[in-house]
Amino acid sequence: MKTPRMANSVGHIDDDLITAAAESKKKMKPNWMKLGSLAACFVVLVALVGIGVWQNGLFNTTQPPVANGDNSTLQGADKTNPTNSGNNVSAGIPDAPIIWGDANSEVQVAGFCTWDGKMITLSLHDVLTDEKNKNHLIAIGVSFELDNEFVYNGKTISEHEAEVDNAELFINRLGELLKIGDELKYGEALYKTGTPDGKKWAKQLYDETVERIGKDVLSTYIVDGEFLKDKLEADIAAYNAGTSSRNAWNEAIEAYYKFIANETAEKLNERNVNCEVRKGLIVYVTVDEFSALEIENAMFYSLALNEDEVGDLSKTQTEPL
Amino acid sequence: MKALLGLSREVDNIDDLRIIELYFERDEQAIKETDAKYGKLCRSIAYNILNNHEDAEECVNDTYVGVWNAIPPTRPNNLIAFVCKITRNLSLKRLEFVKRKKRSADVLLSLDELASVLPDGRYAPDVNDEDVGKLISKFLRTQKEEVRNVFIRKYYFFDSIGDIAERFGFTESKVKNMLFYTRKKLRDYLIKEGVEI
Repeated sequence: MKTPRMANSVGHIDDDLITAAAESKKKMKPNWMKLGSLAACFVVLVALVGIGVWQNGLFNTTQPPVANGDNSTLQGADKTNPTNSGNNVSAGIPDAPIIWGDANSEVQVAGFCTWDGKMITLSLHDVLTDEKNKNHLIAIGVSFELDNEFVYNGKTISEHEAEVDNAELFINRLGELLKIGDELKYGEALYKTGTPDGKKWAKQLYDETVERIGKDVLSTYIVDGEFLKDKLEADIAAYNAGTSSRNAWNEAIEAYYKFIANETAEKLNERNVNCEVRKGLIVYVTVDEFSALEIENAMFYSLALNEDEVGDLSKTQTEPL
Repeated sequence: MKALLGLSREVDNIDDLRIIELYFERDEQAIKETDAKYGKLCRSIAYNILNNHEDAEECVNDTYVGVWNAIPPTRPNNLIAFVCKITRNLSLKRLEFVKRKKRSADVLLSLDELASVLPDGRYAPDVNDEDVGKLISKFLRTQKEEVRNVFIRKYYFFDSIGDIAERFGFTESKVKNMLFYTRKKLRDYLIKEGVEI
């Protein structure tokens, strides 16, 4: 067996790239039995951060605004009352200075703690526990738990997620077949006698490849010993051009968060709680009001950023592969 | 944190310089130090390729002989890459003579995938493997760090999909997708660069 030249070429990759890949750290799987609650807490925190970004793009991780004993000196107080942009459910935004997060500071991963039975970000904790803020209104973003049973376009979020997994596996199988279909079309002859141009596979490799690509896919694109490459390429192109299942899943999650934010805002309105829905639900409450506030399905609370000061965070989302 | 990582790398380099000095002094401790520091990595590369501990161990030993013979006069700037390269080359050479049934399906598939990026017969006549290696490096530098590392882990170190997924915390499906698209983009890049005839 001769080593392909491409494999030798890869052997000439620059040293620094090899070093970086060699030293790329393994992500250790925690020993759940040993780590117990510590590991569980870590998972929860990671989930909280992700969901927070997803829902609001607005939890503040920066230093809270500082009140100097005079409301007029509150950071951002003169531009606090937001315009009624977005999906306002409530017009009841109080005409008073409001403490917001600082959008101009560097965004970092937030820490969390418990305050009065609620999970909150550390920056919100700083604001809530500062005596100077006792009588100020605070803009607090509410992040909700995701309900995987929420139905969007006839499917639950769990079902959308399963479709993403299946679609990724499927396109991967098609892609693999595109590369080796011209050999696989010979079927078992590939390991028994070899192809007319002298290629021969190990039986194990053949069996594993057939299993991985799937007999359903193979029978669709290899018919009577002929590899239907054009059809396969067209199908892959059509798949890539179409709306991906990942988009549908993302839309479903987004739809759920919009739904739960609007529904909760309506309930809060009935209880005369100042709130509005922007990218997510924001409540405007004092420290005492927040202490008494109970919101169903809320996962955690954060210091909200005034959206007028925030760029379109959706633009920062990672592009799919 | 970056500063700490930088410091750690610097310390590693100092260690490597010391090991290289030992080679120059023809001190056999050099081999022991190399084995202590990079033996595990070398064994992993060799085993990934050869799928057999005995063969892998022999390759690692041959690697040390190769390093011993190469230094001096060579003074590698990057000892880890230098050692890995020798292990990989020796292992691939040995793979050519290993009986078919002993070969790992994983590595055969990897080699096949690489060959499909640029088949041997499609190399432009004036292009050598080293030139293509430089182009691959150039291409990889345009990719995201994680994509780059996954590609190198797969096709340089011949890690399995499962190991790569575990290393980077991805699903196996994601790793396969990343590799698939990277191969595709690399192929397009090499065609654009005129490597393929």
